Amino acid sequence: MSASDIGAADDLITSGLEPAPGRSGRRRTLRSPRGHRSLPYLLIVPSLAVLLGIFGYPAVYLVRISFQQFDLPQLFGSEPTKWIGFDNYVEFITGDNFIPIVIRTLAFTTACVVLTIGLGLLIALLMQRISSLVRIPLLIAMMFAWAMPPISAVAVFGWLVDYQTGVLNWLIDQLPGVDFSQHNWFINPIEGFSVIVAMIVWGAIPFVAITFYAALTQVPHELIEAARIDGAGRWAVFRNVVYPVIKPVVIIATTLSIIWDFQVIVQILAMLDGTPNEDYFTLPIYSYMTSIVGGYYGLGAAAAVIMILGLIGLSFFYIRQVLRIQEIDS
Amino acid sequence: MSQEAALDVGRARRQGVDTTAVRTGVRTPRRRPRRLLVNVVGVGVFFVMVFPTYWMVATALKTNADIFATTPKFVPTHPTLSNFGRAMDKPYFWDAVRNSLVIGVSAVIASLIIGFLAALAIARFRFYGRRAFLVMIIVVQMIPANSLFIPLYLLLNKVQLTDKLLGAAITYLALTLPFTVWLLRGFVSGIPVELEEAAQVDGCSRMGAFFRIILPLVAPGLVATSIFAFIQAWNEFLLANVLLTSEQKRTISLWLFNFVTLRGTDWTGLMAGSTLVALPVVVFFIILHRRIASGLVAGAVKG
Repeated sequence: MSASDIGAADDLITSGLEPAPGRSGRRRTLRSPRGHRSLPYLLIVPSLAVLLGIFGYPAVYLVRISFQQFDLPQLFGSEPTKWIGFDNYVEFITGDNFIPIVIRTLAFTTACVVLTIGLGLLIALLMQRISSLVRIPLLIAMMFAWAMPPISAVAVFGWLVDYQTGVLNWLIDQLPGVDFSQHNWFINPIEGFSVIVAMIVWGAIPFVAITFYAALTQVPHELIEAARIDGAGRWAVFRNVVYPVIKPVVIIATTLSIIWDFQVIVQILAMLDGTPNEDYFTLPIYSYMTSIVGGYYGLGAAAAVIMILGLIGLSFFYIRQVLRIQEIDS
Repeated sequence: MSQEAALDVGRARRQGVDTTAVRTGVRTPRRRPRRLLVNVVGVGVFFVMVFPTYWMVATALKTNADIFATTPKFVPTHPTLSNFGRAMDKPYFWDAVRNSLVIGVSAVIASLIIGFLAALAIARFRFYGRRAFLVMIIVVQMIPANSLFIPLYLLLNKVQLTDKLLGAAITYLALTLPFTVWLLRGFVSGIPVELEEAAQVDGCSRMGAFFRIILPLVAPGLVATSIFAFIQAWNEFLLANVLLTSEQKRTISLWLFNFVTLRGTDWTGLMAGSTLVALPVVVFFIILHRRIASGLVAGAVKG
């Protein structure tokens, strides 16, 4: 996840901000002279081939098997695949687990996104106000958190909350009247998810906070001063002056966070030793456990299709925003 | 209010304005404590953000006896590197490093070559379908191969590329290509068209101008982009987990995961392993940090 964050961060930092000098003018492009009209198409052919071959075709194939009975016998070719219409979808949606899975996925995504964006914004505002003696170490700490591979983060957080020698249990145990030694955080799924959410938020905050911090430096200072002279309080200044300027960045960051957190698999899977029980099934985890672990590829595919449809709905908003920025650019 | 005024002073000072008047004007009794409070909160946030990283490295340096102390030792009193040696001696560590390098490097090189061509097309030509191509790049970036692990597994299984480094490299190529195109597009359009036109006036062909003029100029961008792509490949877990099943084919994140599942046995070794896995990424971030200052933002700001 982290590397694509950076790419997006790069877009984000430049996107919502004031246009740089000379950016508003239409960019010149080489006009195709005769005989070169096909050149751009030749240039994109390799990319198109890769994307269609490794995204397009599998996507179509996914939809196809979601309408088929495709289990282990079909995988090994001992039985032919059978078209069964919407049976997989019906089985998934009418199953006992469906409603809890949807609620769990939404609650998990919401918790991650709200905490990431909220804390990210607070930290960005904080960074504006602290002395550079504190800010620079904080930035370095955030770079480390940002750079941490997800799988290393899982190991570290697993160690922090370890029931025997974890430092978190020791810390809580120090509170008077609380006995937290030998407390296992993964027996109660709400506690387990709290640990996973904390880990994801910790890893996601740097990108969001640094992006927001960059956006905040673009808020015209005269506007804040003027508002204050007009008697605006702290909150009114933020709401009416600061927020409108950083709003596009906040919207893009929120949309991206929703899209990323919605499809978290690795962190949940690895935190639970690769065998999460049903209390930990979110939509993507269900899809993974049903297909890769359980061998019911058709059923897992149906869940994946539902997930992708949700994602397309979510990213529609983001794509519109990015394209609007593109228009200004080029 | 007073603390924001203090900020004003800071800004004014940075802009070289004489601030004495402002400062005397805003000095209120409330200013100092509030400033202090904000900084104290900042220090608190610093500790929360840094602690997991610190704890990983600190544990990796501890002896096994130290981690079982009833009161955790927040500073390793008997630092040792033996955990790192033990982690590297774990079975398949070097296989995993080699596999990650082979898959990552081949995917990155292929995606740079293919992505550079597409970036040229987007940044330098207006053609029918350009917008559709852009939308496709963004959509694919949003909905990564993560949600396609079922068909990717089944399809690669059909052509017998599961549990092969080649199969993983191909999927990683697709994984890294969209944002490679996206980032390179920014770098290419940051280079003035006039340079190519001048080369063409001097008798260079169109493609010649691309390779003699643009390619050297986007070199920093290529480095930055390839590092991004490599980090993504290095960190990838899900597809590798689905595609690479035998021990000696596994990548470094899968190797570490094997360790995680042995939870409770060897924390110091696991933390040393985590540090080893994180190390290249951190180093790359530091390298990139300079690029962000020079190439990356310069390329990106210009669109």
